Amino acid sequence: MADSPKCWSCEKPAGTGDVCASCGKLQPPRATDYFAYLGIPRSYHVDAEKLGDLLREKSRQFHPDRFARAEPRERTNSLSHTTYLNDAVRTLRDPQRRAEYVLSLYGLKAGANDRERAKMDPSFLMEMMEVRESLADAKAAADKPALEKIGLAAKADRDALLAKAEASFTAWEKDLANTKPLVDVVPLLDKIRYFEQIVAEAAGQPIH
Amino acid sequence: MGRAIGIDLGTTKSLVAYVEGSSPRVILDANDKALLPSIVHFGKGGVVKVGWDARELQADAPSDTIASAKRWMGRGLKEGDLVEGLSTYTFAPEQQGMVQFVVAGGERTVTPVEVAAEILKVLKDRAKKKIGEGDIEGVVLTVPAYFDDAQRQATKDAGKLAGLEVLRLLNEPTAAALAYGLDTKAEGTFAVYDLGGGTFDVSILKLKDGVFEVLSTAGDTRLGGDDIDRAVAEWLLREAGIDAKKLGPREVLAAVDAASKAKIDLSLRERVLVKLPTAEGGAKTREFSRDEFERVVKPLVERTGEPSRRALADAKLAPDQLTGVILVGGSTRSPYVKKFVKELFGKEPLGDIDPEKVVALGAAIQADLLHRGGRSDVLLLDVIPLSLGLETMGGIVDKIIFRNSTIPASARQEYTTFADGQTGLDLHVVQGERELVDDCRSLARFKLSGLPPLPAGMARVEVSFVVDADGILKVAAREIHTGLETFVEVKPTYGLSDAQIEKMLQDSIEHAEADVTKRMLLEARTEADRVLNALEPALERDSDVLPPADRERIVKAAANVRAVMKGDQHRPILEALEKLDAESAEFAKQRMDKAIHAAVAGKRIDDVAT
Repeated sequence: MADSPKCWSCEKPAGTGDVCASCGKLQPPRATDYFAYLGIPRSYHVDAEKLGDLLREKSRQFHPDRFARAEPRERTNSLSHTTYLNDAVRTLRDPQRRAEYVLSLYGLKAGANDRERAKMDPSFLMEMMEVRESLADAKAAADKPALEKIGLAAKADRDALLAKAEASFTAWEKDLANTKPLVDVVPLLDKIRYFEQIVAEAAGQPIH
Repeated sequence: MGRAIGIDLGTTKSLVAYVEGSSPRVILDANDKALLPSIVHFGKGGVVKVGWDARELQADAPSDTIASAKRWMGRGLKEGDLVEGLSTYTFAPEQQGMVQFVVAGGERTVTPVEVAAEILKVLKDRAKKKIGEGDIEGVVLTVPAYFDDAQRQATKDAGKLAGLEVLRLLNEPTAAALAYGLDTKAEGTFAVYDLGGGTFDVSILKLKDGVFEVLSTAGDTRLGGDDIDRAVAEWLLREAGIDAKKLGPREVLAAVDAASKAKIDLSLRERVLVKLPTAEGGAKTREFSRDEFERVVKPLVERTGEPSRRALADAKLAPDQLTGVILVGGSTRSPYVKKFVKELFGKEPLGDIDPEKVVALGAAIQADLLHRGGRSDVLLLDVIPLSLGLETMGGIVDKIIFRNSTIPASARQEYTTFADGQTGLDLHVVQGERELVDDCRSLARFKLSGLPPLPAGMARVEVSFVVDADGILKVAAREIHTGLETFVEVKPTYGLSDAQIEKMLQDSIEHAEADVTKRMLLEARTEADRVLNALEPALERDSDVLPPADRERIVKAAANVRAVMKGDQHRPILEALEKLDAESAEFAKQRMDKAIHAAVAGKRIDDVAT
């Protein structure tokens, strides 16, 4: 194997697996993206159960606890693997972060700053202002039922947008000729962030 | 071959356990007792007594006999309201931020770390006697999940001081779940409600295929059975017309002991008689009913509700999605606490666990596991308790790693320069849940210097955070074009008191709304500053590419931005910026073309501009 990297330990070709094909020592992670690392197709559509299974399976294989008695280089590799694994699962578990990550793999960036957000649909921004005002009022009055109502409404709006985003991803992924632009998802994700914040605040949660 | 042991170093009681064959066992003392009171007596002439012996001396020498030292681990004197309550100790001035107890009749002082080490030594000797041949080759010590870095470090130091190799600090609820899960082969999602002598933790865990995955954790490191005893004692004294402030240490101790005994007796009976000491050396007897007891402790027990709901929300779970609730800690033996937990989670808590032994058993299992270099069938995945972030322009916190992220974890964020020709970037690492830097705990400051002088916004700096399996944070910053790099290692919560953690979290909930409004305004102003700072010098330099009419419109739009910036609303600023953006779009494009052209020609922008 000409393109097989050399094992850090036995210096023979390590092969393409996580452990050296010759001596079995743990190699550093080599995948270029989370999907490739987890061995699942690059898609917005991921199976949450499967993600949990992969987290457990790979943690069992790579976690630093398993390498408590190993040599330093292997312990370092174990840490790199586990960190990458945790980051991958954390990102792909959350629909919004997952959507942003998939977009980033195609060179698109969601999560605009406030100035870019200001270019959004003015009627949407107006709507958000009104929701924020009623949220502030409900908070000031400690009106729990009103807070709950606002939270539920924002949740429904968020979920509707997520469903729309999901539909866009589905259409885009099916469209092999790539005639549908994926960039349409970006404003949806930006709007989702607004609702996400309202949901969190209405629930009395600290904001992320 | 030696063994590894697990120790539950509790606020009021401690235990040691080990794994024999394949099952964990608590090791008993010569009198067949498992629990060792976490009490150490320091007598004159270097006499040290630990546990039951120390407890017997507590009444006669209250200031030489330290109980609940765990409450003082990794803490300074002023960080506690503890000294204001009923206290029987004498304190010397702090050393290196550590509390000093004056003991042995004034002969010496000891730190909480030394007190804890005495307890650990006794437990180590107990284990040595039981295990016989070979040595103790390592220990797993348990800590409250919500313990901060200073408290963890102090616990680790106590282990070292006792001559033990600390393999790992393990969170108490996680330890309990491990012991329970392996014992019952249970699978599903569990809440661990851990109300001990001095701390409260709640963790939500998913148990599947031998992996114990912590989904979220929350807590209160200043709430436990000790507080209940003190509150009951204070209430009883007040009701009996006794001025607690006039009582000496011996009387205070007697009152707290009487309260503690009444608490236990009221688990079984409706009413008890309590004998209270008076300042004059006499005693008063008062009847105390279960109803009264519940009224007194209600506010304390209810304080566990908020962290519990937060942990559930962070795990994105409703109470009915829980498979079961595991009770840990002596205080959960109280029927009133059990009733509260049942209402909180809508579920009868599991009753087949000894809440006082389960943590030590879990610690023993993890010790055995690490000592053998891992086991393929069992694994713990834990989280960080508080978010980590960076200060950005305008005093806003950019959270980089969120609380309850599985560790080890990492994250990156990109920043850009603020002014033309800026060659340095100051980075300020903070921890907490609030939006504004002043409300979070400062962890470290460092500077990335030697950036290439580029127009504002063109240098790109990537900052990365890495938290390893022990919860230690490392931060690195890198300029993307040049590869210029700098590193800093910070201990995430060093010196952060638990009271600060709780206060920060509490404040973040109360101030969430105000924060957002303030944050949006600050962001809008910062953005306006950035735009104007970049635009105005450019207008001076690059006006050759700009027709006069366009220039005038841009200047007018910029003046408008400057005017609305002074207001306290973010929206007008954003609108003004939007207008300015539209007016100057063409100019920006031409300017960028020019800059790129200049860069290609190998000249600095300033050379071209002049």
